[in-house]
Amino acid sequence: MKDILKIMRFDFLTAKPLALRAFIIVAALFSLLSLFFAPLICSYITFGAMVFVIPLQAAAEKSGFHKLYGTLPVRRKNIVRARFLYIFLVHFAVEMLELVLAAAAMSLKLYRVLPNRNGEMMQMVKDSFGDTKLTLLMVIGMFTVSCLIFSYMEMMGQICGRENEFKIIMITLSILTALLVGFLILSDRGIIPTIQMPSLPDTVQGVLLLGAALNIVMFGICLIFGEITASRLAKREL
Amino acid sequence: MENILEISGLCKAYEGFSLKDVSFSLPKGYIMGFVGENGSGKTTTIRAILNMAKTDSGRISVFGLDSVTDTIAIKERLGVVFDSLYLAEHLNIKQIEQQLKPFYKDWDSKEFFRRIREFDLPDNRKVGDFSKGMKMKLMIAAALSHKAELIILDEPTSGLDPVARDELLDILAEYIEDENRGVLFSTHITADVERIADYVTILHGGRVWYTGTKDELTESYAVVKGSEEDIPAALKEKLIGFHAYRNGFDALIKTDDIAGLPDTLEYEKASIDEILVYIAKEDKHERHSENHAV
Repeated sequence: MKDILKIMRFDFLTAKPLALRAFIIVAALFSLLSLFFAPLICSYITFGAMVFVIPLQAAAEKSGFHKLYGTLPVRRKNIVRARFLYIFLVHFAVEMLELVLAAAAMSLKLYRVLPNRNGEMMQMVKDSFGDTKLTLLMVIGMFTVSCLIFSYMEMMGQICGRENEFKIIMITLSILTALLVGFLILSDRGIIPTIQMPSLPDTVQGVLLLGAALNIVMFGICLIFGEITASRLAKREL
Repeated sequence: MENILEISGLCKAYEGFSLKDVSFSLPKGYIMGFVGENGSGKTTTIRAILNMAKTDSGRISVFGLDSVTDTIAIKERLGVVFDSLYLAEHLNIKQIEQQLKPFYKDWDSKEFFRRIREFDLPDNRKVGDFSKGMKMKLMIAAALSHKAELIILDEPTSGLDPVARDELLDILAEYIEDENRGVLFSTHITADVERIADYVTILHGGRVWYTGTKDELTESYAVVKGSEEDIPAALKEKLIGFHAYRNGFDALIKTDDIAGLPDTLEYEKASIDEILVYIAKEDKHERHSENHAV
C-alpha cells in the first residue's frame, strides 16, 4: 500500500504544476456561479478533476517515465494500480469540494444580493436553491460519469496504447449504441421483456445513500480496472 | 574478490536479435566499461539487470541478490543513468527532489542539493530546458543521493561535448574511490573506457566477445600490418578482421601468436577502438571480399 501511495503522490506532483492554474480558474468560476445563480453549477468543477488526469498521461509519455518506473524500487503492478486510485481520488476530492460548495451556496443564498429580484429569471434561480436533490444528483452524476470514463480510458490506453485512444472511443461508443438500439428493438418487438429503469430516490437522504453507493462502486471499478491493466501489462516489458 | 554484479548464461531472443549466453561479473570497487557496436545487446543486458526485460534463461545477481525476485531490494541500492532524461521535464530540480525522495529509504536531500550546487545546476529552471550534460549530471545527482552502491550508466556520454564527458568521467572516478561500490558503464565511445575502466566486457552480436581487465585486453591483441605475401600460411586463419588494400594489409592478432610473425610485418598494441573495429570487420567477412578485389 505504501508503494501505491508513493506513486499516487508522484503522479500528483507531476500533474500539479500543469493543472493547478487551470483547476483554480475552473473551480473559481463555477464556485462563483454556483454561489450566486444555482448550486448545481458546482458540479461542473468535475471538469477541473480532468486537468489533473489528462496532462499526467502526456507528461508521462513525453518524459519517458517507463524508464523511471524501471529504476524505482516499486513493483510494476503497484505503479499501474496507483494510477487508477489516483483517478478515483482526484474525482472523489473534487466531489467532496462540490458538496461543500453546494451546502455553502444553499445556506448563504447569495442570490439575494443580485439585482432585479422579481424577474422570471430570479424565480428560476430561487427554485434552484431549493432543489437540494437535483444538486446532489448532478454532483454525484458528474463524479460517476467522469470517473468511469477516465478510468476506462486509462485502462484501454495502457493496454491498447495511447495512440489508439480515438479508435477506442469510437469502438466503445459503437458497441454501446449497438447494444442500446438492439435492446430497444428487441424489447419493442416483445422478444425480451421491457426492463423498467429504477426510479431515483425522492428524498435527500435517499440521494445521499445512492451517492455513497456509487462512490463505493466507482472505487471498486477503479480497483478492478487497475487489476486488469496490471495483469495485462505484467506480461509486457517496460 | 566479491562481485557486485554477476551475470551467467543470460539468453534473450527478440525478433531479429538475441542475447546468447551472456556471462560476466564486476568485482566491488571497480568500473567496468560495457562496449560494443550499436545493436550488440548492451541496452538489452542493462534492461535485464533492471528486470525491465524478461529473460529466456540465465541468472543475474546484483549485491548477491536475484534480479527478478529481489528487484525492489536491488533498486534501493542501485543508481541508473540512461542516455536520455527520464524525469518530468516540466518540473524544476526542487520538484524532482520532492518526487523522488519518498522512494528511497536512504535518500539524503542535503547530499542531493550539495551535488546540484557542485554540478552548478540551476534549481529554478525546468529540467527539460537543461543541456544534455546538465541532464546527465542531474541523473547522477539523483543516483548518488540515495547512496547507490552500484551505478549503471547506459550510453551516458553519447551526445555530450568533450568538457561534459570529462566532467562525467571525473564524477565516476571520484565515486569509485569507495571500494564497496561499482560502476557498469555502457558506451561505444571507447576513449572513455580507456580512461576510467578497470574491466571491459565487449559484446558482439549478442555474445560476450571478451570480458576481463582492460589491461589484459589491450595486452592480448595487436594490430599487424605489412605485405600480404609475408603472412605465414599457419597464421592467416588467426588474423581477425583481415583488411587487404593495394599496398598491403592490416588485421588484429592475438599477442600469443605474434611469435610466429616474420620481421617484415609490423605490429603495435591495439586500442579498444581498434579491437572493436576489427571484430566488426571479421563479422562482415571483409577478408573474403577484399581478397577477391585484390
